[in-house]
Amino acid sequence: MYQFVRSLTLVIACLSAVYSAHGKSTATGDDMIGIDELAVILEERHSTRIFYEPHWFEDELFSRTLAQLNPVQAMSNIIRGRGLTLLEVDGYIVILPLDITEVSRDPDTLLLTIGDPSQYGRYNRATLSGRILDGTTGEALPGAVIYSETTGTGSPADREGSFSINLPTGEVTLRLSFVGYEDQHRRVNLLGPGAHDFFMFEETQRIDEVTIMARRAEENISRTQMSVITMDARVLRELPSGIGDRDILESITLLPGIQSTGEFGAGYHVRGGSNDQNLVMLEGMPLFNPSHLFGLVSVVNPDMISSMTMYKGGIPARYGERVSSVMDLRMNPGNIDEFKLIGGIGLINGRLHMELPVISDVVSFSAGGRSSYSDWLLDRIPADELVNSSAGFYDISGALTISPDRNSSISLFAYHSDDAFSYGEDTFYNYGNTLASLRYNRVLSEKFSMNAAGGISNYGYVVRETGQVAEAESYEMKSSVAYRSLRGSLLWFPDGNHRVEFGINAISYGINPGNLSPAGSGSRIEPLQIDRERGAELSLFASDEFEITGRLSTEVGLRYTRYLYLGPGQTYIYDESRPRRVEFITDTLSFGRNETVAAYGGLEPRISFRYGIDGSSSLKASYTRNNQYISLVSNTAVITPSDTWKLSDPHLKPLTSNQFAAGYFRNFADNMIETSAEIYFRGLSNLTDHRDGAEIVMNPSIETDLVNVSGYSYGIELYAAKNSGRLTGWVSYTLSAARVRSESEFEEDRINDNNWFPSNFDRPNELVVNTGYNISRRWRIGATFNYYTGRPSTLPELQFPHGDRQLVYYSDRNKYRLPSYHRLDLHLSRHETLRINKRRSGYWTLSLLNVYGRKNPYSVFYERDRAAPGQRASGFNLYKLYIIGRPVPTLTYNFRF
Amino acid sequence: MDRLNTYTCILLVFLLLNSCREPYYPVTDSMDNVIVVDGLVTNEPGMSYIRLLYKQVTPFRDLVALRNATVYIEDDHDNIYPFSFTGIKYYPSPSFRGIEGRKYTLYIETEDGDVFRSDPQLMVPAAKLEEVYPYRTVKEFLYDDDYGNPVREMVRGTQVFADLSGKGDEVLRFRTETTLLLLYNFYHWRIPDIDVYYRWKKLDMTGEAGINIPRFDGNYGQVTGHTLCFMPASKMYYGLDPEEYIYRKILIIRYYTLNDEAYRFHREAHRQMTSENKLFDPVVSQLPTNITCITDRGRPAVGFFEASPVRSETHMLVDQSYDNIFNFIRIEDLEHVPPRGSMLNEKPDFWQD
Repeated sequence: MYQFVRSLTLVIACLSAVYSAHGKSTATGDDMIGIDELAVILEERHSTRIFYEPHWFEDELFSRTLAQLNPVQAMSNIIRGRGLTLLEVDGYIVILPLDITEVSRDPDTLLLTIGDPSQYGRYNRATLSGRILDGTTGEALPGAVIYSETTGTGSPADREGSFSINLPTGEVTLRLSFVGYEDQHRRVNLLGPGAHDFFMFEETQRIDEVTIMARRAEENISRTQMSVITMDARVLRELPSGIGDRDILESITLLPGIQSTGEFGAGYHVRGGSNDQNLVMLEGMPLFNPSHLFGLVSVVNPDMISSMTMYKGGIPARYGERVSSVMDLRMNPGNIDEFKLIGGIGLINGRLHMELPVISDVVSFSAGGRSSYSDWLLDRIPADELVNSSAGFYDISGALTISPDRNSSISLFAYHSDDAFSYGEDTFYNYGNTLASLRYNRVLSEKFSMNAAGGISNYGYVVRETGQVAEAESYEMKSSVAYRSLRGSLLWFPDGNHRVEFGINAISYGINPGNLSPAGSGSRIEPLQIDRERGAELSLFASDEFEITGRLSTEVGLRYTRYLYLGPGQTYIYDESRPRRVEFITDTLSFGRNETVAAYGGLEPRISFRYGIDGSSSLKASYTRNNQYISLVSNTAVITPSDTWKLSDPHLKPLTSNQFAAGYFRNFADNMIETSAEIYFRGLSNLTDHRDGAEIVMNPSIETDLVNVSGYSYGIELYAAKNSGRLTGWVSYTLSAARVRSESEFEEDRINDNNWFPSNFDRPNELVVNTGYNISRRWRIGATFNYYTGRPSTLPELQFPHGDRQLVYYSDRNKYRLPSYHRLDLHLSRHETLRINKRRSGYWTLSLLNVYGRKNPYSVFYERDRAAPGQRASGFNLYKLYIIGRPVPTLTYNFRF
Repeated sequence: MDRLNTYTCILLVFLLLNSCREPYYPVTDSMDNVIVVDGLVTNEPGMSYIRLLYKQVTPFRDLVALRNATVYIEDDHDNIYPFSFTGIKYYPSPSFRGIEGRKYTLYIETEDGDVFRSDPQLMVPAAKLEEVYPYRTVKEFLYDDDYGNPVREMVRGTQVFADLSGKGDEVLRFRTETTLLLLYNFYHWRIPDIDVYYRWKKLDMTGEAGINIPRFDGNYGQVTGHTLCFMPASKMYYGLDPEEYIYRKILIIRYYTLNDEAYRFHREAHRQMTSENKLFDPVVSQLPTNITCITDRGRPAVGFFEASPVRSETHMLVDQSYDNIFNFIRIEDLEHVPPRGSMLNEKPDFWQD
């Protein structure tokens, strides 16, 4: 009750702030004064604030003697008989109309009545549906939870903020929870099925700069899903700063089971899977390269994101395409009420994001962008090696949302990113993502809502080499991916206990693996176009989430995919009794346009269980099977812009993953401390690995440089977090293993003689300690410590002469490990204002990265001795590359208008 | 803002320019007692040799010559050819001459009793060099100067290409070794006479371009545009004094035709030599070996025994700009010419006018 009133009060306070007691004065006589003057006197004498709508008392005068009373007595006298009421909140006095809400309520208890009174007594149970929204902006709050304290059941809001919960009829107490927002307790008299939207309001003081989890306190216990991470807009705003800025993709690597590719790498590995096994979706469209500046910064502008949900296990049936994880990023639709401007200035880039209501409550627009400063700064560095070098990026995005009525909305989204890097006049890289989507949501009835979406995602890169090689060998190479998707789904609440979702998803893939052309008139390079690849994927999915008993709930899902690899193109037939090599091609088959070259498919069952032990602990288990029809062909452990995407074809079968996971979740101290332990096992089949010395780029028969491998990974993830109080943070530890092995009968295709060996992403020990402490309401300090076992590496064991050259004998694949990675970062934040009604707010964050200056190796490489013209290099030297090898201070400023 | 600029510049230099690198000395298995084999037999007398090294256990763990081993080659006609230790790491055989179409197996018996054996190596039919042709171009070099500072230089010169053909439809695999025979003069003015010095030197120009990596283009038996070498135009790159003048540039091209295993070995070696991934992990190019210890399966051996036919041709660059002539012409074999020399007022017999 108090929470509700307080929250309601605060929003009224916001709305009425501009009309507060500091406004006009209407006093006309010595003994009689206007409401504004009276309020000012009371505020000054009693150090309080009084909020009201001035027009309620327009042209009225009150006795000055009222100012001798305490504020509550004075204002109570004034409002008597006016249909107004008075509330005290945190020492403030707020005047409210008695009919402030749309609800039918008892004036004393704020009892909310839902359902048709004429149906009273007809139902034993009924479904309450609706949306949970930000009371200030109207934005949906995905992940917010409505929870019945009477029955112990709850329901999370989905991406649109919609929820549905089945409750016994009669009076129940509901609790609305969402981290960063005030909890609400609502007494509801449920007469029958009905709908109601709930509004929640941000807390007046930020809780935790580095809180990752955006959900209600005990959601980890009560929801059926496991292995899921959610962040809302507020949490995203408060992510810890990396080298340039806040970074969503970097921040999630602080969570168990998710490991960064390298220093600040935007790439990440989930439970031993490779980068390309992670689906990163922006407004439903996949990002094929989520990194700027070779992984230093992710392409996701945190300002434009309203929510992030990531599944690393128990992936719902509506998601497919990749086998390790799904990250669903939703763009901020814009503010339907007022103009907002958000921005920040960091070390490497600056950013700006604006939201404006085009037609109030109907059409909103948001747009933003980021740009690096590095390009023009490089031009100003007086270094010979930097002449004509450049490195820069930008990304822009926009979203238009139209809500013609309360039950429907149309969203149009567009995004473009661009990276350019050149070193001297030698090599020029350029790559970028372009995404666009159109989405339509509609609530069809109390039981049905629908979602339809379509969009594109294009990725392409260009590499041009003109200098270091002879002019005759100058070339330009292009590669690209074109992705098209149509999707429709229905959400159905047949009764109060079931939440059924089913739909269809059609995807078209088009890949240009490589186009080589001469660069410049002096080049003698022969143009070469590798056959383009085309594929289509059709998926049907259905899922149902329901309670089996009061303690046992489940979500069962099934996804069926059918994949076709389509012509036109040629396919080589290889001699099956010999290794797959070009000289053993026995036949070449040609296929016409849209002719099926290869077809794959299958069922992908998904199932999750939750057993509630008591109110503070639960057991969960899940099984997920996924198929993946597109892979990144790479011969490095880190992301490079020239890695090539490849569709499943007659030679490369789709990757299949089967993951089992189980976990125990327990909260302590009234949910202040949250703990979990998850174990998982994942089997992978039809993985591909490269042969030694594989040529990935411009290889017309790339299958000859790839070998088929299988793999598995398993691990345990321990997590303990303190989510509230002055000291917050978490400790996570993961113990895991990831192994692969080749399966070839031919010796030259075997890696490590077909024995199991650590995959590139096997890092057995991972420890993260992330803490923050609120020194005061304005100042906060934080620290983040990471430790990872070094990743596997293939190192040279012997350098020996052969002829007049020095050659290297390498160890077995991934026989060794790079040194362990560990780093400590410190952060200090200062917030300029703590007042929620302040129009402008901002905060500074000073970080010291890599406090003790450890030189964590990013990669290890050989470099030849540099030979002068006419001379031959005599040998190699081994080096390690590290991104930062000393303490690096960074300062960022973020602001909102 | 100036401070920010400076700071960001420093950081970017660190991030982008290899400034954040340092030598790395990982602890790896010592591979003590490993045998390193560098063996080559050809169809040309006097060109076959076996070089054997092994890694000492103590005290320095260096690769040293494997002395006093019994080394011989056996062909598939049961002929045995001994190779004798000469004291400088080599076991040469002045008389051995391989025959195309035969298979050769290397045997090594060490003093401690272990026996190493190679896989049988087929000496495939030799390829034919069809044409050698030049192309004027500019190439950029990055090398360290005497003080260890990187120097970037644009060098004008000639890129040399070759076309080769094999026999039948077999995939043509070969490697080349290119030697530049430079004929140059030095004039000593001694009034009223002139002393003319006729000088020459040989330079290895193979670089890393010696191996041909065939692409599947439907034409297995021919390779066009194989890069032989790059010849800078300026004499300073050949170590000539300003008073010395280049008279002729002659290329001595040796090309070995490879079987499948030898090709794999040289291909991986080539990839090792050309793999420079500064920001990312290098492409691991493991070298295959065809040597195994048959008496102790756990004793490691690396390296390769190769049986390849070799041919040699000598081509002279003709550059007569006024006649718009710029090509190579084949001349008699000059492989026998000593590595360097000088004659006063008398042309050596191989001098090309």
